[in-house]
Amino acid sequence: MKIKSNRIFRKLLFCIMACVLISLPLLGLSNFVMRLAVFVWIYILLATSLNFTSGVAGQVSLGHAAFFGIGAYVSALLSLKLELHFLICLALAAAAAGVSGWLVALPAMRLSGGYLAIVTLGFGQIVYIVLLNWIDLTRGPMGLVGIPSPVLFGIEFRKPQSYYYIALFFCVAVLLLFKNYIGSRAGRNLMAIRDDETAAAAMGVDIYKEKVKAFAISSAIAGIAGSLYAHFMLFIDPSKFVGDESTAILSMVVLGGLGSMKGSIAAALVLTALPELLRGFSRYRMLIYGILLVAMMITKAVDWSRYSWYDRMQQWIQRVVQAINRKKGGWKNGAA
Amino acid sequence: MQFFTQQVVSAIALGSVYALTAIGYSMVFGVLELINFSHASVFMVGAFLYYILTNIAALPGLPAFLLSVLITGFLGVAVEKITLRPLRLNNQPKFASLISTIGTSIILQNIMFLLMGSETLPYQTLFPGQSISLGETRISYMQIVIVAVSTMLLVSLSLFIKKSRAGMAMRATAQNYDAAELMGISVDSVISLTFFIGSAIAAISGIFVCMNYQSVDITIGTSFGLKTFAATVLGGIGNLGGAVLGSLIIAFAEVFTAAYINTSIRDLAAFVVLVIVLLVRPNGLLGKPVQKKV
Amino acid sequence: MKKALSVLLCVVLVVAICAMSGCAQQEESTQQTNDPLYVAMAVPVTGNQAMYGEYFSTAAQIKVDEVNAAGGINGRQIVLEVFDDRGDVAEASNLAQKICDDEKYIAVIGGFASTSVLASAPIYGENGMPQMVPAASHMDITKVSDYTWLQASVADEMRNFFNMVVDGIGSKKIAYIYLNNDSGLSGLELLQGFVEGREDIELVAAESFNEGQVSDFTPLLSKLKQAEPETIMISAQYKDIANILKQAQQMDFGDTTFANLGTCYSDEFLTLAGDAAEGFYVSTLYFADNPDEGVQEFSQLFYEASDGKTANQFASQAYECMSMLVYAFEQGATTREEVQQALLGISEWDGLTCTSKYTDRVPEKEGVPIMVKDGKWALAEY
Repeated sequence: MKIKSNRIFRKLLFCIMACVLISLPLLGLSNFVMRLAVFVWIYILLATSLNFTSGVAGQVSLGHAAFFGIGAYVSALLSLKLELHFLICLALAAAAAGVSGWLVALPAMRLSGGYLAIVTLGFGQIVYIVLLNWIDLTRGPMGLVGIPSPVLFGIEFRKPQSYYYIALFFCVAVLLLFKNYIGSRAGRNLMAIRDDETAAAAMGVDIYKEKVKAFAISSAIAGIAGSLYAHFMLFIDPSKFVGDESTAILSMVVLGGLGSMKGSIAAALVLTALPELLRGFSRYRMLIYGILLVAMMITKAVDWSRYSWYDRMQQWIQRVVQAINRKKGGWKNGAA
Repeated sequence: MQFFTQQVVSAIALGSVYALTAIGYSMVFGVLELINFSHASVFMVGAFLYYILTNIAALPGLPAFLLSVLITGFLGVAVEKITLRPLRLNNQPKFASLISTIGTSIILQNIMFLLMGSETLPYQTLFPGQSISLGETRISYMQIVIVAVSTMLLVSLSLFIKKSRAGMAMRATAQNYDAAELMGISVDSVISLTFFIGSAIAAISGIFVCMNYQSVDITIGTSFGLKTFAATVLGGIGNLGGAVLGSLIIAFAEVFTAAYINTSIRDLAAFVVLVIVLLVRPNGLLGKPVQKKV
Repeated sequence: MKKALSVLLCVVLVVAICAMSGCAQQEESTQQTNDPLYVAMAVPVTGNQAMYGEYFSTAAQIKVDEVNAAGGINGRQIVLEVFDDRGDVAEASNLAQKICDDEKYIAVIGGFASTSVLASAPIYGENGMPQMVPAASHMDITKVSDYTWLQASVADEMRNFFNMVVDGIGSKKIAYIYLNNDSGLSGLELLQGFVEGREDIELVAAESFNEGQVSDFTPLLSKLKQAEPETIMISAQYKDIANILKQAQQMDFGDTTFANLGTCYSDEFLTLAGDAAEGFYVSTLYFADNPDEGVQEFSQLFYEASDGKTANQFASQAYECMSMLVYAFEQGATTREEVQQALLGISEWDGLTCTSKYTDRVPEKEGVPIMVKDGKWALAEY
């Protein structure tokens, strides 16, 4: 088969992947794998949301789980107490998280570096403590039980196979939003801020405003993820929305490469699936996870071209690909 | 009145416990501009080393103490060499180092978990049960020791950084990494030294804190870590006096909220104070604003 | 190049996960008569609560070994497989799904904390999997699913605790310190209810603290001291209580007695608290030195199985969970539904270490008041 052109080949690959992902629930996989799949989509959503702030705009945020939690609790409470429809709960959860994010960003985006980090960490803690102690509203450590599953078009989305589509839908929608945003002027402004604040300011970018906007959008999306989480788990309690969760999400963003959409998808997939794959090692599981985390950071960092064997291997692979292309195509493909 | 005095005493005692750790944190943070999450785990490892040496290897107190501190210092250097140096040398964004320190923290915690289990173990203390009384308020000898040790640490570290050549090298590296290298300072060595001192101090604080509460377990790093991190930032990153000041402020906020408002929101008070201070002074109380140069 | 690699990595991962757990689909159901009876256990093996997971698995395994040594049930051996839920809610629910997907498991024991149980119960319930809960006692557990079976009920435990303090110790003014988790909080609500029912008793103060907070309890204690209670009831984990007692000792509480609801009964607590624990009362559901024959037997078995640890409430309850399942198997149950039906037939459970009356899968038990005397645990004397 001719490797005609890179673009067409990639588009084909993409279509195949899309078909597989859409039909995943129909492939007869176990409930457990489908559950994991739903979580992967939710975490991709979370990683992408943090990517707005930390990846694209370069603002470190260590308290992101707080907005995840706000979204989850708002959505759960609205559906439990006021019996509102799932989509309304989700929208309001996103709004609540977004507004909270905006309020946090107003003071926080004036800070930078370590100060910003600790303030976001502090906000994360504050939200956690409030969730834990505002017993009248959130039932604190007792958690919220019996959260209703979404009912759309008369179908109850309770099983992982069906919930998969809800998670998939929202995740893809957000990813498209993200892609457009990066490509747009606003996105480029943010990347300018990340790369060199002073230069960006000199070019007329209102740094503060853009950072606040990015943070607010980021939190709103985390709120969506929270809502999805709550209506899937059917039980939430404050213990999920702590600092550890925030750092896990940040790890996904960093691992995937700041600002890279495909990167955070891959990283979310890897970091969600990893504990599962390591289950066989039970006692050593978290240790291996830690080692892998550090290893992944170092491997990304190390200038592998310093090591000749890796270099040679890469060159060899490149030469093979070039040879195939040259044989099959014309001058266009010869210049790889 | 007595109630009030008791709270003041508690606050000063708690503040000095935080200060012990915050000083070391501040120093590392100042030189490297790195949020070092593994510091808390190193703190915990140091404390456990002392436990292991005194209980299992049955060494007497002082040699065990010195040995734990030294080993922890070298552990810190090793951590830097393995997990952070590659990132620094390849100009990775600060985020990558942050995640790496998180990974290190997980590794250290889990190694201790596999070795010692997750139970809380009793810790040998100095002067058990002895205290002095100020009216109805009692201050234990251990608490006085901690105040004394934090003061000593603060003074000696400040002198070291201000007067010694190594200290000057550290300050130069903190100010401008590249310029320091150009001036012939071996930045790698300076950073290793910083990590050594920082980790050794973490061990010292870990040991004294556990002596104070007479127990140790693998979670002490994280429970103290957050507040001391906040204290460090509150006082101004890199400023040792600020670290102590920040620790006292946070301790006072916590204790007085617990005593006069509600015990379960004491942590909340600490972080709210942090946020308010940073709003007013974005570089911490005693921190100097960093000039951004083009 | 990098993109292709990452895509490849993702595909490999997806395939790996499917392969690892897709295998579950091909398990044959245990129709053959000589296949073992599989019981799963979902508890914390790693993480902060790992020690509890160990108590559970050691204790349940004792029963399993006992039954298997005697030839099994109708010739079938029991196999207990332990899984790690890390004490995390999402992990607990995913694990529940994994266990339910595998046809061979006909019952499960787990998790530890009420939050893990509440997260996993809906899934076990949907799959008709009987879930024996060894320690959690949250009020909502049996409402979330019809298949959950408790070994302890917070209402029951609190009642025993209250009676010990009020009738045993004889205090009229009580204060309550609690860890801000579900048992502490529901404990407060129940306590307030009990106090209202007795005119002569007064709850003078109630203070809480959060988990993972710094170990400094001096403001909390000084507040309580001002209220001058006769007994301070504490609902928290043993390491916090050890700290509370030591700090209270510093503050000179005079004749005030301290009491706890069962979590302190262990040797580790005594080592941690030292002499500050002298005169400390505990209302426990299990006391290893109880002269009762059954209790002595279990204590001995646990001592051997765990290389010298003393049995406690958590161990005995896990043992009872397994014993109840064994009872169900002996009634001929070989599927999930049959196990559930057999369990429903139990109205009074006469276990090795305790007797419980079951109503709607919630037990009622008698507490055993004990205290620390001369640095050791002994039956309570007032």
